[in-house]
Amino acid sequence: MEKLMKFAKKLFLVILFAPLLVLLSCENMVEPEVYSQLDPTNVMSSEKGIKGTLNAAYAEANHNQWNGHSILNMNEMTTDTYWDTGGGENRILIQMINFTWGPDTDWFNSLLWNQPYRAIRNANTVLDNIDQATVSDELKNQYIAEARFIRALSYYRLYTWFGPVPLRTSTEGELEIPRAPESELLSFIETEFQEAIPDLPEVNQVEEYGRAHKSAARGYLTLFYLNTKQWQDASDMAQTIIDNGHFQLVEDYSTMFHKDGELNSEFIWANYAELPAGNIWINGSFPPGFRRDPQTGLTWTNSMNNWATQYRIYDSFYNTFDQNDERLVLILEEYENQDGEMVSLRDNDDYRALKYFDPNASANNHGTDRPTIRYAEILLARAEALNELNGPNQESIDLINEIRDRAELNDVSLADFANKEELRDQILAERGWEFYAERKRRIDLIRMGKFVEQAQNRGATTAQDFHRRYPIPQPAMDANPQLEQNPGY
Amino acid sequence: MGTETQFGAAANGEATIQQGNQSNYLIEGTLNFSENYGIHTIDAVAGMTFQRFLTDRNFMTANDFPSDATFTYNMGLANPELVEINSDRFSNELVSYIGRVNYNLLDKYLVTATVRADGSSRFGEDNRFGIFPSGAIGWRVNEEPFMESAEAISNLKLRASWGKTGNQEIGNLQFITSFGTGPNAVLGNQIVSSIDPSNLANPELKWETTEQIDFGIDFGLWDERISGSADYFHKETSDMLVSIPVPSSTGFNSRLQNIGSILNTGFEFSLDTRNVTTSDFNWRTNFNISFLDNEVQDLGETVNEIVIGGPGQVGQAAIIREGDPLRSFYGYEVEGIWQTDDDYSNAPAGVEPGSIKYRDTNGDGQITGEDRTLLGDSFPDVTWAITNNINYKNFNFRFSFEGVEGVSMLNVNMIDTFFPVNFRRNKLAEPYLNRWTPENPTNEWPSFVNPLSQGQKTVNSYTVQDASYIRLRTVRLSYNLPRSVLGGAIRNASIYGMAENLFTIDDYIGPDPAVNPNANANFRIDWNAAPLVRTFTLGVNLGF
Repeated sequence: MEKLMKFAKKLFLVILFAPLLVLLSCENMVEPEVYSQLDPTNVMSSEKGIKGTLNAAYAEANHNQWNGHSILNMNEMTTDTYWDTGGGENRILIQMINFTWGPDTDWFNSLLWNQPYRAIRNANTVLDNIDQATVSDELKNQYIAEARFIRALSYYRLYTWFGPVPLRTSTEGELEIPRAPESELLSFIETEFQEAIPDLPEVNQVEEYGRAHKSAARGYLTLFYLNTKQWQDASDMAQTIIDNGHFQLVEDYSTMFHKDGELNSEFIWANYAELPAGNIWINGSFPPGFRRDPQTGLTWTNSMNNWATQYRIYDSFYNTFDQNDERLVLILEEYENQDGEMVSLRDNDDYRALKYFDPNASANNHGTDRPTIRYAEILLARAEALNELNGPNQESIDLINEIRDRAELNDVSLADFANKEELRDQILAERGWEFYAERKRRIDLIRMGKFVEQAQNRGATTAQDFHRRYPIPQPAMDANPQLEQNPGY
Repeated sequence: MGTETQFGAAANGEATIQQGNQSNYLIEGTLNFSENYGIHTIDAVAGMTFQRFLTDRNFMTANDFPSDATFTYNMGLANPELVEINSDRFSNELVSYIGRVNYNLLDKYLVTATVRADGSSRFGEDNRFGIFPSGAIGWRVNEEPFMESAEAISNLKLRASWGKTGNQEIGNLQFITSFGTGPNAVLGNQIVSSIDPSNLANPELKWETTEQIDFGIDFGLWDERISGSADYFHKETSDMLVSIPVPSSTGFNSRLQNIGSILNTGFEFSLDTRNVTTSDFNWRTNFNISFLDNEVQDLGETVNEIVIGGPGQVGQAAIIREGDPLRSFYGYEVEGIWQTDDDYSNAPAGVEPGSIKYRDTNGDGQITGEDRTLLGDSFPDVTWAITNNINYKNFNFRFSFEGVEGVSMLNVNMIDTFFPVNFRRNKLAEPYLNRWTPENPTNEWPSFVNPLSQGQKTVNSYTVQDASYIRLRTVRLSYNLPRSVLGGAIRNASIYGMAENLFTIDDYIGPDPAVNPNANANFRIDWNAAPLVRTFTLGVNLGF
């Protein structure tokens, strides 16, 4: 009995102290603390937060460094201009060259699908939060327009690669959504660019070089109309840019693609690069042991890299150039190697494009911008649209001759072209000479109906019509049962 | 990196310092109670613990130094425009209230009951606490009077337990959207920083709970000449904390979620026998074996199946689906090789004689993602080991075998063999040396011509391999020098020879079917594994 009393006493003590323990502790102890990450409750209410996130949208839409070079090659290697051997990226590029790519080809997912959607997410984050943020009305409208520009640009790119894709215009909403109907996506892209224009600054009034401006939105609209074959709109929009007079052709073609010529009168929009990060594409274009281009004096230094992978221009493309074409200056036919010997690249599908060189390059990085819209393309876009509308016409010929004059080529004349098809072929050739290694060729060939044909002609016999769209990447398919794969894959 | 290295030369010298500091605070307060009441013994504990884990990290790197001489000791000498600095700090907290009672009656009947409430800073306010009770009972049967006549039975104990445990091993701040450093933009002809959302918030996150029931028996016969134990367990993990792929049109690839439940059931058996016990000759054997069955029971109402990717360039690799083992390997089944005389009229694009022939599981005439099928899983059906220990006079001989049956592993070396970065890459010899050629029209291995002609179907029945094996793990022979030959300060001495990993019987192509460098035992991937070492040791042990 005594023992039982003792037990009861102890039990009582336990009961007494247990709540005390609870009181001593405090549930706030497990309230999470945020140190180095930014707290969502205040970050998106400030102008700095909004602008920082807008910068992230710009960053994701700016294809430079590794991503920029990869996206460029994936697209260009499907065409008749250049190809690749060796190096780590060859695993992907061989599939692009031979038309054997599929939903499992890994860069589709990481670069062509995920990256634009991150740009869209960041733009949506800005647009969802800007109303609650303390930003002046004038800036608010400008930031909204910039975010919409980047969002439209990203959807435009997704469309040119995959066709219609899920359209997400807010960070809220269902996770799984199906692909938007084609008409809905196209009308969204067009409307977004158009509605952004009034609140975007003119190109000479931008806050910082590289932020969106009216002409960039008009430039993308021109390309959008062109590639969706809305010829009248394409020619009108191109004319608006011409009439605004903000841009003109640079006199010497080759200077635009070097570091000291990247700020010029011709670039309407670009993938911007600055050291120490930069544009790394040219490393795969340097031939083995490259030291110096005797034609231009361009010289490789020991601070630079030269990759194992080799981007080689086909003879069949090189041979279409007129030998007097100024633009050949940036194509390497022979070079001086590290031992001082001359090495020829001729007649071996092995010419090299030396665009985007920076004499101060450090390791992989050349601080050189890669244009995505040049004034030259606006001129050729109008020439093409007018030909599609009216057949061969003097204005188209004049526009083409502007480009040819700069390249020091003889003029073509209206009499040279019997019909629309002949002038279209001429424009395709002109675009090839003008825009090699600028990520234009694939979409040009698709628009002009030559994409599958050129692949077949160079031995990629698996090429079929369905290859004009890339497959929805397998990880995206697996994560979203509502997605339907493109036919053929 | 000094200027004599390639990267160092390009940067004109690069110095980097990374520092990390992890601290862990623990505050514990417990009340203990222990008392004997005749045949009853009671122990009880009530307490509370608080734990805090804090990590601080600093990072700096600088480029362009006037000299290599200062290493990382004077980073101020670098070009100030080429300096990068970064730091971060994060913490998590865990608070627990615990109560436990042990009750022992007559040293025959044992009962334990525990309840704990754990709170974690990794979950949202409504889900912060989880309550995890458990209990166990034991019965020492051989202490019962009615067992006295059963002299052969030297030990017999029956056990049963039930309990719930919680898991919160996830990253911090996953239940809210936080903003961190985004990619750099190029604006105004310079590189500018940005911020972007770091994760897709999941405010619903809560404790993962495992409920386990265990029945066991310990036994000893003939004075422990034979002893052992057997256990059956039934373990159900629900609200699993898994990073689940989400549609990447959200801008995110995955989100941490609590999903469904998995069931592990198994049987474990271990046996110790003293086969011979004489003064000169002793032979003991230990044998243990376990059987395991893993099954995804439920994925909730909204999800049918979850396909997840592997590391590096592996691509989509595994599936989580009701009724199958967790993270079953998921890919294309190889039927054979396209032969010269095959009918190519309906062949998939890109095939030629010598190409891999994938099985068209849905029969639509094409090889697409729809044709992927289960190729194995990471849970061994059977795991066993046996050790023999033999003493004869001053000799000791010991050897042990181990083995697993019914387990698969994704072999990334095979992926590099079949889908190489380029043609110069190393390949595993067996498939390549026995490859298809017009003269060797094998149905086993492809020609390796145009390896990417059907895309990157990296996860397939070539690359997911049977990783079952039997291995002679160790053999050791030693001799103890008799006391009579020892002198002076030397108390004992032995010489021995030992070999490890002498041989392995397996069908796995690659260095070792037992590796798992992927660090996740439930998702076995042979990726950048160090090869297995076979060691031979000769040694002398001296005791002073």
